[in-house]
Amino acid sequence: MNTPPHRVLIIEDDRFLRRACEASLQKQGFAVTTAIDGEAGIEAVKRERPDLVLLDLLMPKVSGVEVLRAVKEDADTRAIPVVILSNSSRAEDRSEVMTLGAVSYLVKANLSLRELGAYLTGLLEKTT
Amino acid sequence: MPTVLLRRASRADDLPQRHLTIRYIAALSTIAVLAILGYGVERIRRPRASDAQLIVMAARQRMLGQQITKAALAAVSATSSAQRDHYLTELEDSTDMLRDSHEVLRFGDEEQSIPAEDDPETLEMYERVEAHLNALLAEARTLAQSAREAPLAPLPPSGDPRTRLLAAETIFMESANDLVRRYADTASAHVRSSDDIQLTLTVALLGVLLLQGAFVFAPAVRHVRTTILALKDTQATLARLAAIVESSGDAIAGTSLTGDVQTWNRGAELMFGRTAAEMSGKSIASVLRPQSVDLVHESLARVRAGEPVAPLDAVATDAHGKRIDLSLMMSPISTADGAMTSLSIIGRDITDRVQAQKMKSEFVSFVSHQLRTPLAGIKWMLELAAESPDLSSTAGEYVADARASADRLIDLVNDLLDVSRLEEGRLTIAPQKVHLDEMTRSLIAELDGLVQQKSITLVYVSRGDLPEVIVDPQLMRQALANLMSNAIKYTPAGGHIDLVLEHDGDAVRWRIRDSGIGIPTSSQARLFEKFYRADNALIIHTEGTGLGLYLVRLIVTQFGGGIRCESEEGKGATFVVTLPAAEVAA
Repeated sequence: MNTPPHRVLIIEDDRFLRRACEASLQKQGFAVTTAIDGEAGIEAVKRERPDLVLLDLLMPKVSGVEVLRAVKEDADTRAIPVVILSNSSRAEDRSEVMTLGAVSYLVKANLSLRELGAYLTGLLEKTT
Repeated sequence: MPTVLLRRASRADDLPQRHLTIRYIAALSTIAVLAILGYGVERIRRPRASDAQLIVMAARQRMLGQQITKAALAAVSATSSAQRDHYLTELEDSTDMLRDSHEVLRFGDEEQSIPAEDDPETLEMYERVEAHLNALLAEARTLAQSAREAPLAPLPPSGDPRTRLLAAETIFMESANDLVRRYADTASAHVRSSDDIQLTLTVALLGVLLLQGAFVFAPAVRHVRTTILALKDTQATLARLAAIVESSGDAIAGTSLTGDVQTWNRGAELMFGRTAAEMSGKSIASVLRPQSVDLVHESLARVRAGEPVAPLDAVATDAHGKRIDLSLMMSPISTADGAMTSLSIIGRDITDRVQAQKMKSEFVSFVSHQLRTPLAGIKWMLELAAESPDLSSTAGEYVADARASADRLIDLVNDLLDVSRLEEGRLTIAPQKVHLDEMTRSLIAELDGLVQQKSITLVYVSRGDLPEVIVDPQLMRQALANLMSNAIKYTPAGGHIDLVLEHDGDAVRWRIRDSGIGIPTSSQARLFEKFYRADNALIIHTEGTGLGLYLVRLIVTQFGGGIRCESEEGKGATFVVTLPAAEVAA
């Protein structure tokens, strides 16, 4: 276990979800940082350059879609995979973010934290 | 309706009309024949022109007889020889004329178109007249002779030739009179027979006219009356129909086969703010928004091709630019013999409904999102709690139950969301070829835990070389999973479930049979309704949203398939899903 843990940035405005997600992923061996809204999220991406971003969509001020666009427009951060974690299952939302370059679109309520951890591990091991 | 009425009337009309025409022609022909006959008979039997001439000639004979008698008497009584000669010449002239006219009467004369006498009775009379004439002439000659021989001598009183002449004259006159009478009688007989024929023909003509009245005119009047009544009836029906069209709140337009407006009812005028005069000749597309134009044209093309067309939702604009959501019903208008002449387009304003639907959909979407966020929080927190090492075993059980409840609630919200979207056709569907066998095997693997937990025996048989079906894999998987979860849920511990996948003609049949409580016949009809749960399902306290089977039906029908249930209470239930095979569906 010499490899450094995968660094995941969670951008989520809901306090409880952020906390649960952070706790579980840490327990599952990820190095987790969090941002409480879109604005902070964009800054955190630029600052931290995480291995992966977990991004909520519906957030006040700066929405997840705008965060995604900012990440993908910046040449320095473009390569960072972004997984959308939303509770909306509207087809329009899904297709919009997939077009913008998100890796996948997951519905929070339909997912356990263990499943999420396993999915992210698989994803990161494939990309690295 | 009106076409049917009109058709019936016109069919009934054909026969009597032809019959009447034939009768009328027959009557006219008979009248013509009678007229020609009358003319012909008239020609043949007409009182001869010669009749009058004959009478005149016969009368002249009498006059000549008297003249001869007078001339002979005058000659013997002449006071001078010149006078005597004059009377003798007169006597000879008269004698010649009498002879001539007698010959003419007897043998006819072509120049005067007098036919030779052929009636034996008349001929006999001639003989008599001739005999008396000869006697008269003989006496006249005798008297003339004596006048020449002994002029101016007094005549002996007895045996006087003058007395004999007068006697002969009297006899001749009688027979000549008879002849005149005879001719007069013949002439009036001719007139009488001609009158009889005229009368007969006139009576026959009147008869024909009467028959024509009875068999042509009366039926024609009856026919005309019936036709007028039928037409009035049709007119009234049409007026009623027109009134319905005019008073309808729906926009009703009659268009040409290419969709150009021909009629535009009051409802349409009010709905679109455009008058019938404005719209006449314009394409129906002129009131539609661009996104609906192609759809409407496609549907019209299908109507023209004689295909059934379901009501179409379209968006139009009124004269003030306001959006109108419409449900359009398009149908062909055909004549009685089936030729399509125009189209009928009925537009119902569903703006309010569409608006309400949109609000409902947005509401469901919003609520789902708002519900799912705290639910995800609960779910995840409970997951963390369950992993907590310092959790007592009792608390662990509580947490496990709480997680199950949270999952149920999430399932319910998910089902509601799916139903709402499927109902509105808003769910994005990606149909592709799918092997139901693979899908079923993967579902069995997924549900194995539950099956083991209840010690249920699940037997799956896949029969034969099965074709693929065209479905959205995610939705179909959800539908089959619902049916399988139901089977597991309602089958008691230790029971068994049979799953069969097989070919059924052009379809693939997926059948699941459980050994559960079954479904009462009374509940089967309503089983696939939204929020419906069978009475006995409530008794055994199973959990359910009442949306599962409804969702299954929505999904299966989406891909042209069907679902049915066969069950008897207490004897388990069988659910059969059929889906068209890919080759057929494609």
